[in-house]
Amino acid sequence: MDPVKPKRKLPIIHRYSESLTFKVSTTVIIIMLVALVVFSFVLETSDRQKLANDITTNGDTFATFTAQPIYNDYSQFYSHLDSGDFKDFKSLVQGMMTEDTNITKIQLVSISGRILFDSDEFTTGQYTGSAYRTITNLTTLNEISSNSPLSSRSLKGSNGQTEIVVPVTEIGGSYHVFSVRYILSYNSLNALMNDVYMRIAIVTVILLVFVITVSVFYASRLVLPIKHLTEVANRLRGADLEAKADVTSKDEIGQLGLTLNEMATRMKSYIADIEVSKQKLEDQYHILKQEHIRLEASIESLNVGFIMTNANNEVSMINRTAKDILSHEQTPEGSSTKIDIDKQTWTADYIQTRLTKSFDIKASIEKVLSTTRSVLKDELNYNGRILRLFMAPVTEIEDEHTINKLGAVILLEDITEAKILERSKDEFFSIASHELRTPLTSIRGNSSMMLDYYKEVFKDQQLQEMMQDIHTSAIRLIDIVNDFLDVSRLEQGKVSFSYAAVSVEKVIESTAYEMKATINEKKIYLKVDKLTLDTLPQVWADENRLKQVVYNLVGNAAKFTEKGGITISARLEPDKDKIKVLVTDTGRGISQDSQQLLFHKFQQTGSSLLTRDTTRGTGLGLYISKMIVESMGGVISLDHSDTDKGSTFSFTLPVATPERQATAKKDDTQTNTTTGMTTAKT
Amino acid sequence: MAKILVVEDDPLMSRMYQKIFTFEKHEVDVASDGEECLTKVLTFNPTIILLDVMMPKMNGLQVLEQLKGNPATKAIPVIMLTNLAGQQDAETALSKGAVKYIIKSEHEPKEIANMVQEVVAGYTRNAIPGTA
Repeated sequence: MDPVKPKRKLPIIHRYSESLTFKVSTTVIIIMLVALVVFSFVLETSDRQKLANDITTNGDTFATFTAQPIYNDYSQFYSHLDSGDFKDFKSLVQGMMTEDTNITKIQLVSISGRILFDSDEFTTGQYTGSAYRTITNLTTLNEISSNSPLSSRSLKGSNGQTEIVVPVTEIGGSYHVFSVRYILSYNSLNALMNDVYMRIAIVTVILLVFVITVSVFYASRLVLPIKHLTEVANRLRGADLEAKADVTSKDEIGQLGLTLNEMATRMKSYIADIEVSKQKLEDQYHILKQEHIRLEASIESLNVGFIMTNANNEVSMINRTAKDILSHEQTPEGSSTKIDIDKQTWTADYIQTRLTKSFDIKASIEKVLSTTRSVLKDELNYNGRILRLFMAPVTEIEDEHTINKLGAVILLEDITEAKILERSKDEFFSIASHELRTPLTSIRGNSSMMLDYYKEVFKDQQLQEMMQDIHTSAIRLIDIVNDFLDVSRLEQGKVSFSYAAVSVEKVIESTAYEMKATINEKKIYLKVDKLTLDTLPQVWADENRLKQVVYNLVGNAAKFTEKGGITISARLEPDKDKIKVLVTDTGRGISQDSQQLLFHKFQQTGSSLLTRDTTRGTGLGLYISKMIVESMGGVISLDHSDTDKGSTFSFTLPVATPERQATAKKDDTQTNTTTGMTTAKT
Repeated sequence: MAKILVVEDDPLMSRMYQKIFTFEKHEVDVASDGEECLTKVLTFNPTIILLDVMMPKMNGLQVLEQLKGNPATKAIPVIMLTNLAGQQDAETALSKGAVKYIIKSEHEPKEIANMVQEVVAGYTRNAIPGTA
């Protein structure tokens, strides 16, 4: 596009020359003038010619008429010639000249060329002598004279005059005597023409004025509505939508006006719509902005590091906590410092440099976006800290086939302290258990040996009893330590169960065998219901732990039974997928209130009177049993209990089906060989 | 009457075992770490070795490997001593050639002595002792 030329200040005429009015008027005027010129031209040529001819003819006639009396009365003229007085002729000529102003001169010329009469005599009173003031020369005159008398000849002159020559002879004579010469100047014609021209000029001027006035008037009238429409359009352009074209004519201008009005109306409604939309947009924007502020504030307030990347792997949001987490540095000496998080630009690349080789952000983002699955990195070592990193894709599902990948979101947690705590808890338990057990074993062992090998020294009953108590206490303490360790490890899920197809019958029998001694001391029976055990399928369980549970239940039963005994039985459940083991005692039962407390930590029912038995008096027995049974996929419960009648406890375990045996996942265990702790890898 | 080498780093425990085996009329020697064990085994020539699983510097399993790798000592039966926590290692030890493992805190010294006697007498390798 050409650059806009600067507007020159045009002289007023120039400006008006651009207006429509001027153009229209000028056109009309020019047309008129052209018409007039053409008219004049036509008039001049044709009419002039005709008029000239008329004059010539007239002249001709007069000249002949004048010559006629000469011809008729030749002798008279001839005789009067010398005297120069031929009155009739002269008055005739005068009359002629008065009548026809085109005749400028009439001459009577002799054959020798002598001017006998010249009409100048009337004006000047004399005529010049013999000077030949004619337009034709003598030769031509003689030529004409040779023609028959009274036959006129017209000759054109150089100065627009016409000469008519009529030769006269004696009647019947062939000898030319006189010539009547008429010199025509077309005066009347000229006068007429001038008159006409004058009239034309006047008419032209009048017409001109008239036409100018009318055309200017009409043009501006024509232009007026256009001007009006222009003004209306200008106002519309200037967003003044109330402008209305006021045109009533049915012509094209009227159409234009209507269209303009319609346009204005439509524009108005569009603009109104736009205003409404604009308002809505503003409101939405405001709402959105507030939402955004809330969101940002929430994210900033999290005590979890939050990083969000967009589709181009650029960081679109990072909260303070994330920067804080990534701010750790280790000095060469090994102490930790922090960088100034506010002085950095946290781009994806910068974050990568902070994490160094421990984690490839971009690769992980790629993976997360391509698989649309989240990723959890449980332990990420970086600069002496331990982080937990969670990454998930941010996607927008448009339809079945279109998923827009908007970026990824990363959550960071500094779990260094938590991990340290965990490890110190582990260490505490292992150290505690190890450190406690050794002296306890020493107490137990030494007191036992004292009783066994120094019987003479301990002959004294009291002494013996004291030593017994020391020994028993040691055992009890060992049991408590074992229980505590067991509970903590079971609760933390750090216990590995080695599953196998186990014979319930075998376990129950061996437990019964081991407990027989202590049972007998209490004078109660321990029966194993062999009938129910015979045809049982094997269970899928950890054998040692199964034994532990049976041990616990039987031990509890023994604790609360003074008379009668304990019966152990087992059966296959109706769904054929579980085996139920039941331990029934005829003891004092458990009250309703106490039943609520069963299987909870540290709850004991009744007083526990421990002799050298094998029950654990820590109140953790049933709690541990419950955790074990449930870990192995079973359910433990008190089936029923009646005061002074006895109680029945039971637990179920899954049958060792081929499917279960096939899907046996070897528990990932790792043994810390320093502490001897066996931990299950989660 | 056997020659028993007790390899145990904790003096409380080693003294206890020394006593019980002495009471039971056996000859006892004590080593407090793996290195000492490997030295003493060659001079003492024990009939049986009681080897603690958890020891500093060289742990019981490593000592066991050494013993079983040495033709001079590989025939000597080894019983692993452990507390409850080291049970996993003890089971591993069985696969490396140990005869048995005993959970120290679970037994009276007399029981331990009986077990040792059984092993020496029969030198049998039991089935995996459940709650030995």
